[in-house]
Amino acid sequence: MNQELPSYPPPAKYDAISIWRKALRSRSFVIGAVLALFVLIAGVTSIFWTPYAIDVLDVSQRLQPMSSQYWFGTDQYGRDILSMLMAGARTSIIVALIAVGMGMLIGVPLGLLAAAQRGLLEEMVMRTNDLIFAFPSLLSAVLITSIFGPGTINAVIAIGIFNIPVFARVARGGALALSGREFLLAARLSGKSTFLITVEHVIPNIANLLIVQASIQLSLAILAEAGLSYLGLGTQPPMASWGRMLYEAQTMVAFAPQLALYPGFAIIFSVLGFNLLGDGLRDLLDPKMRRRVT
Amino acid sequence: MLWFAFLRLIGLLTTLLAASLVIFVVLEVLPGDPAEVMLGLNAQPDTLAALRAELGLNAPVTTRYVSWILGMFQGDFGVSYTYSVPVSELISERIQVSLPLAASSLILSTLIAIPVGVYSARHHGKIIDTGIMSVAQIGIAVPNFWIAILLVYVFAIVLRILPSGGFPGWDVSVLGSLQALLLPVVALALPQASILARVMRSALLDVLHEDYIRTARAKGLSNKATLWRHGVRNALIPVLTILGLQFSFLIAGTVIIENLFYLPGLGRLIFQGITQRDLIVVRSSVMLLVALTIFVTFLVDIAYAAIDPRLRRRA
Amino acid sequence: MSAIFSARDLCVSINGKQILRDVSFDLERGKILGLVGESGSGKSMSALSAMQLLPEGAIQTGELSFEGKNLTCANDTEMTHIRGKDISMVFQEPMTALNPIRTVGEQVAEGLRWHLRISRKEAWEQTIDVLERVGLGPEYGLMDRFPHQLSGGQRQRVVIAIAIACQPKVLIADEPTTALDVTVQAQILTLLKDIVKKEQMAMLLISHDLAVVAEMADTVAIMKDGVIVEDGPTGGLFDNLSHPYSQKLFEASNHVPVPRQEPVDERAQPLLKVSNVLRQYPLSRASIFTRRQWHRAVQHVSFSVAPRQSLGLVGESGCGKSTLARTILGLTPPDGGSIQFLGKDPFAVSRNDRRDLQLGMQAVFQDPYGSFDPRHTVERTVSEPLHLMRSDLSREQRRKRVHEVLESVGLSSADANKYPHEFSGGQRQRIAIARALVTNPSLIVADEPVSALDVSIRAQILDLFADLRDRLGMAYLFISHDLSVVQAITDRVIVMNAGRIVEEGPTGEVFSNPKHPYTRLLVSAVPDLNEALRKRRKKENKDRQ
Repeated sequence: MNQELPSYPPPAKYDAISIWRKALRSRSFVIGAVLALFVLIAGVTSIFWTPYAIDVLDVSQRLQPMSSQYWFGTDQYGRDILSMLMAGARTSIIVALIAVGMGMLIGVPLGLLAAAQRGLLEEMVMRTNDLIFAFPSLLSAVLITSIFGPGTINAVIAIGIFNIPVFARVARGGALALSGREFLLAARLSGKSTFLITVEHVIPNIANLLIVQASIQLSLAILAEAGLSYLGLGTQPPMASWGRMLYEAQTMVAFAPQLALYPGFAIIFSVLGFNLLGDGLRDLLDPKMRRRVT
Repeated sequence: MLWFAFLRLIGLLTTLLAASLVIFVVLEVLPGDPAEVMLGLNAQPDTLAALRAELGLNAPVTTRYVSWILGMFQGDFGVSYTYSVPVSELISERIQVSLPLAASSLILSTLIAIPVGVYSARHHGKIIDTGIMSVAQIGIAVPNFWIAILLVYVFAIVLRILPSGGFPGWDVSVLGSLQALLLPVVALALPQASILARVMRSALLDVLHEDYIRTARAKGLSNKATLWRHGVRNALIPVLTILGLQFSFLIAGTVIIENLFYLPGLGRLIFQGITQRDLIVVRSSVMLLVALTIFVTFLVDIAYAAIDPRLRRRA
Repeated sequence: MSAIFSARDLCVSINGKQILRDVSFDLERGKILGLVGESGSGKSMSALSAMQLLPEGAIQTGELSFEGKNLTCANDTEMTHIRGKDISMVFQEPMTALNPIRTVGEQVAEGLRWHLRISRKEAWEQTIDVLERVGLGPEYGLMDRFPHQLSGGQRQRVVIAIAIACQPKVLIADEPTTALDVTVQAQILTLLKDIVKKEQMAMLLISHDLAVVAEMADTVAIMKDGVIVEDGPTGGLFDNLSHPYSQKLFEASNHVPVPRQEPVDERAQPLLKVSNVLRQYPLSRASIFTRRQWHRAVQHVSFSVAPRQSLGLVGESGCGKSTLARTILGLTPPDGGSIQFLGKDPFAVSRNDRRDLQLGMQAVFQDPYGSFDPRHTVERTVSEPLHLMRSDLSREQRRKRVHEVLESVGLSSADANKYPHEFSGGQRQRIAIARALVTNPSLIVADEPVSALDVSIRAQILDLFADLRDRLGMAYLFISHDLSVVQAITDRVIVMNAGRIVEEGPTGEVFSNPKHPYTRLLVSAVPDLNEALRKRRKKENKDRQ
């Protein structure tokens, strides 16, 4: 064996049942999935129903304590906190999903292209990536939303732009790591085009990496959305957003500190959920973790 | 090594140039007429014309770009429209707040993260490791502005031992200024430290699986000696990557934190500049922050090569 | 002479799985014990156990005594005084065994300073001596170099230097030459032998290669599934192998497939004709002011393969044989010269003609893990080359064809719906061969097809290649670094060195009577099992008298 034998992990098992069994045994995955699902359900429910309307201000009901009527009380404008949190979940999830989806849809093809067409094109894609990385993310989001006006859509675009280079890098790195594998050579000997090989072999084999990265990016996007809304540049009232709720709570922190707690917990909950989900998925899917002992 | 640094330096200058172009296009070309943006929709035609003349907007785009760049090289960043003072003055004043803030958060987070990460890796799989990593996992999920609000509530409102915001200025009171920076630094550093500690731990665990660790053990080195002599230094390579990326996050974080604590720093200057549509201020201070980020990336690259000899010959 | 180190009834289990069972052996000063076995036999675990460096979660019983001390009872602090000082170890992969960010000098000096408590300066001076002992004198100037700047052989010498720095009494070498070229292997083996004799060390040599062990070891232990099935003085043991496994192993190591039945018509129109092929890579420039340098990986190589002929291409790593293979397969165009397959140049034909050429030439690669997409079933993998004839075949026909080739390589059609991970290494290589056969090619390019396999499986796969040659009239271009493999299966052989062909001729002739100095060096460097055993026997008889 004098040829350098790359120490590939043994081929992974890909039957759904064994992965599922393993998943249920992974603590990170289960907790993460439960948290993420919880936030998702809250957000989806809020589209059809919230305990109270979130766009009706009722000063007579302001700063109510927790009660069976208002589970988490009301804020200084008399809005039901629970309803606001549910609607906030909707905002967070929508912004995060679209922004990350945008990053994936643009970033992954760019990264694959860079890996397939090495040379000038690759250089251009990677340098553009570096350039975007050079802009501190939130700072440029602030810039974009301020030029084009605050609002949910602009927040999505601003956050989405920073997801592009992330996914481009992951896709390119994953594709390059595969490039030495002999099954790609075999596919080429079968007369398959680069495009076909990418679709049939490369994408399925880097899907794990992308899924793990996506869950991490989702949590980052939720944080970014909260930050933008906190600065007043994201979601605008009457639509609710956790960052906005924190901003409004801040002025009342001396009198009603609980107002700052709930949206904070909501953010932590959902970010933690997606992070744990990502960790769990990585443990399940990343072949590095299955390194052979001997 | 020198050649490597030289090539990196060229890369740095190109990125800087490209970044300046992006900023210029976004702020001066995309909105149409910057003067209109700055004055708002109801501006009088003659004030608009006066501002245009003042900003040199009647010159062609390329001339404006070149004179902006050349001006910055000479320390001339233009005159703020709202404050009517040279932007360079504003920046040099504000950076006295932002730089200590960012630097101390970076240092604090590193000082917390590296020992914690190493400790956790050494006790891999034990309860203490699980505990530390769970706390870190939560720490990553916490937005820094939420920590800041809680810190303000506890230390400024309940305990009344630290100011809830504002900044007296270094020349007025050094102690007061330090006190004013304490909570912001902690709020910025804690989430960063959580990320870094996790990276440190997993990088170290990866390294500890390498064959050369076994060689070191076979040499007779104890577990502890192996960890410090062969583990930690090699694990610093991925940690450095994250440290470089974190600087960018830190800069972004200062925008929020400075606003929250009413600190007269660069982040707040930019934010105010944007809300007051003072594009002159925004343009140059954003450029400065981007340049800073690029420069830190450059330093990280150089540090890489200093640690890892394999990188030195590659460009 | 009594044993300086001995293992008695050593048992190791990891997570409930028994790895070693009742392993006993003795090491004597100045003697080498060879531990032979195939992958998974537990031979590496025996080495780690002797060093007390077992992975976490391993449970160990039995006794390991060194100079009367029982090591299984020693705690880690006590072991740190023994490891590296009294008992040392040499590892298989010289690249990964060295810390990439520390200089060679630092890494060798570290053990000296740790055990001898000497000053930095003294350690430095001693390190120079140690490196000289392993043949890396000051003229190489390696003290301040980093591992990546060294050649494979130099790296392994450094690993040995680290091990012998404190003049240990016991040296354990785990496959010390497996990752090295055959000529380098010969040098390293000689070095190890000299050190053992000169410094009167006791050595445990672990290898999968019977020939290496026969050449090196005074006594041999054969291991299978964690048990030593047989041991004894080398010559005597191999004369009277009693355990069926050791007999099987011995036969497999000597195995030669059935020779060709019908002779090849060498005057026929050649199937493949390689003329004057050149392949070069740009090297990265030292600075922008110097001219770009080119590395010539393949320099003006010409040869041809007749129909049904089996041609071997041998050479050491970096000689350009894999680069050449890729060009022949049509994956990368040559920078000069031309290739003719079935009378056509694959880089200058129309799409349709190119398809026909691809149908006629398929490949088998080395790595039984890397050659399959882990997400595709065997059927999908094997039928992939049928993509070339997509319009001509129905789904049913494809399936039938896949079942046919699976059966012709000794698998069953029921295997078609399984995934690669469900098969062993040897079976995977059969799947790879099935994939190459599916288009009914006339030539198969096999790039190190048996290098990653254990000896007994290697023999089976070579038999399969011979069988297909006779049954289907297949022609092969057989690329390997392993001379014995090429010798077993090919009619003609080409020897490559540094991108050039240095010798070409009928296989038997080239190996029995090599003309070029490089070929001679190569042939003499290959450990010969029977020759080594003959010498052993003679020596043992002399000792007895």
